[in-house]
Amino acid sequence: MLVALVVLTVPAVRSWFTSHAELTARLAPFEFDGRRYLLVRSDETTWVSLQSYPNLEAARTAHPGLKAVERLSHLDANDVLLMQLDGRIVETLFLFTDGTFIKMIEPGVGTVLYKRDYFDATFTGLVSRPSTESRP
Amino acid sequence: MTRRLALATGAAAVFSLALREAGSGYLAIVAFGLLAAALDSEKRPLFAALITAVAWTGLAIPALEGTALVIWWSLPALIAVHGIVWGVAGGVHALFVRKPLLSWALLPLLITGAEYVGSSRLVFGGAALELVAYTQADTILRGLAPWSGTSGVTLAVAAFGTALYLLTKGQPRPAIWTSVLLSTLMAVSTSGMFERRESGTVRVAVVQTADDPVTAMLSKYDDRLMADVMGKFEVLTHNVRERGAELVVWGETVLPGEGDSGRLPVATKRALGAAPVVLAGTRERTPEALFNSTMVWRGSYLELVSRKQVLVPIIESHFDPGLPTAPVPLQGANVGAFVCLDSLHGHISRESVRRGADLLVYVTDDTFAGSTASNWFHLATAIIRAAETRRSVVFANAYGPSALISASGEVVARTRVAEPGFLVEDLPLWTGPTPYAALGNYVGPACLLLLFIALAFAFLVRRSYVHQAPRMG
Repeated sequence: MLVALVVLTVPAVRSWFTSHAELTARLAPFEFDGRRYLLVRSDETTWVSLQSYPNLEAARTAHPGLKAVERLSHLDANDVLLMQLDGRIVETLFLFTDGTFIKMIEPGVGTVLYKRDYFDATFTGLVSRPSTESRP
Repeated sequence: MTRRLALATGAAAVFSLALREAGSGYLAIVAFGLLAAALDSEKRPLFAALITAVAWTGLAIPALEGTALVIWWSLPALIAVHGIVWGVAGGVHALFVRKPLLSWALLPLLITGAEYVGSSRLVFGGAALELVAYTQADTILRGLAPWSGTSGVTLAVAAFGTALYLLTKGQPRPAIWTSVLLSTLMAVSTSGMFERRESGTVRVAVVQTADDPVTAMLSKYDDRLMADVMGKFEVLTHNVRERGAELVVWGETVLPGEGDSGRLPVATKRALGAAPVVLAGTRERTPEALFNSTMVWRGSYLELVSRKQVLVPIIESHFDPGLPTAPVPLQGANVGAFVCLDSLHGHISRESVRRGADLLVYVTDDTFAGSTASNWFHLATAIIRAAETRRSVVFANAYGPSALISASGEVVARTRVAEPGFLVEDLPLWTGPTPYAALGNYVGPACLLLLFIALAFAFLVRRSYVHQAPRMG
């Protein structure tokens, strides 16, 4: 019985650990922390003026024309999103989404790829963009 | 009790070897023999159910171990859910052990019925699967697939295994009859009766870049990574073109741009342009939905070929399922194209063959499964699809193994896992239906019907006995 258990489980456990170790090693250059991937470091990206605020009220004061966005599909490239990160409200520059990942520029970090669930948990739903009249 | 559990665990161990690359499908017959030994004279339905479910884990672990790399609990969940079906089969077997002849005759039917139910998308949705038949991708028993698809192969394995056990008990008759019947069927199958007409050949190539899972995923979102990936595709595609490839197949979701030719990066267009016709997988966005599709590039723009019909539960919840489509003429072949899990369900390919497909193409990306045995199981499904429809098959796995498979299910050429490479071969285009293509899987439902009849008969006999008992007293 012991031999049978070894034959049954050892190859599976071994291949799982091998594959997991390979995957972890591949993730290292992208600094994946379970929530986001780093595609390009901050110093390699085009400089953008993105601010952060201690709370939402301060952000509203700085952006009197904030818009609420309910759906991911309503976001447009170069929208400035207000995210709740590390207890602060941080401006990020939205680049692209396919519904699974969200590509953005995060100040002090670089071009990042957020997992959808992490994005949903941190996005305040508020966007700073030019007035709707100027948008197509 | 310990002896029976030890036998069941032994059956599981041998089953697992039958699905691993280093093993052989013939071991599945031995495993069934061990399962039969564990169930011999076991009258307790619950314990018999446990024994049978334990044996089944031997098939499930190698086939599904790759899923645990994506969602850790998916493997135990799938084992538990599908193990119940096998458990029910074992439990029912215990109800008949008082009649040894009937119980041994029913065991192969029970296992075949359990596998048939497990493969039902009506019951299990995207998690539907069967495993026994795919152990036979490397044995002569796959020659039975044209008769009734997977259920015929499963029935043969279970019947041989049961007969093998009875042979060890000094009862040679079941082994003799099973061997005679199945040998006759296989002799007929291998005499060329299914290959009605060869309508030509097509020189097909598969290109496999084997990018690691992280690069493969992130390249869709990063231009520099995508340029690197497409650079490899361009070099490999150029190589197969030099070897005369007419149709080149890439893996699943390798193309960026969500199916919009205008959004294809320059590097991608250059790689596609290295061959006259490239069939590749891509995410396809329409105004209403998102599909996991295959598209063809014939020099200027992408054209839709097919959309994935069976989506992976949870992981692909953001996709919409596609519908069956007619085969697409490419380089003289009528190509039925499918994506990933579509290869697990014979009826999907069968529908395409009935619509005129003479070449079946499966594009997939098993990068997620790393170095586990799940990749080999996936290849085995494509081999059985070739055998049951008698069509040449192209299996293009972005991470490997990829393969070109003859209409009899023989692997003509194969790449290695996790290594970039390509394959080029002439594949014959066969027409004409097999009994499976014409009639579908009739063995599976027939097994279930026979089981219901046996259960109804047993119930009526028992009821009649209970009613008569007081009068007799």
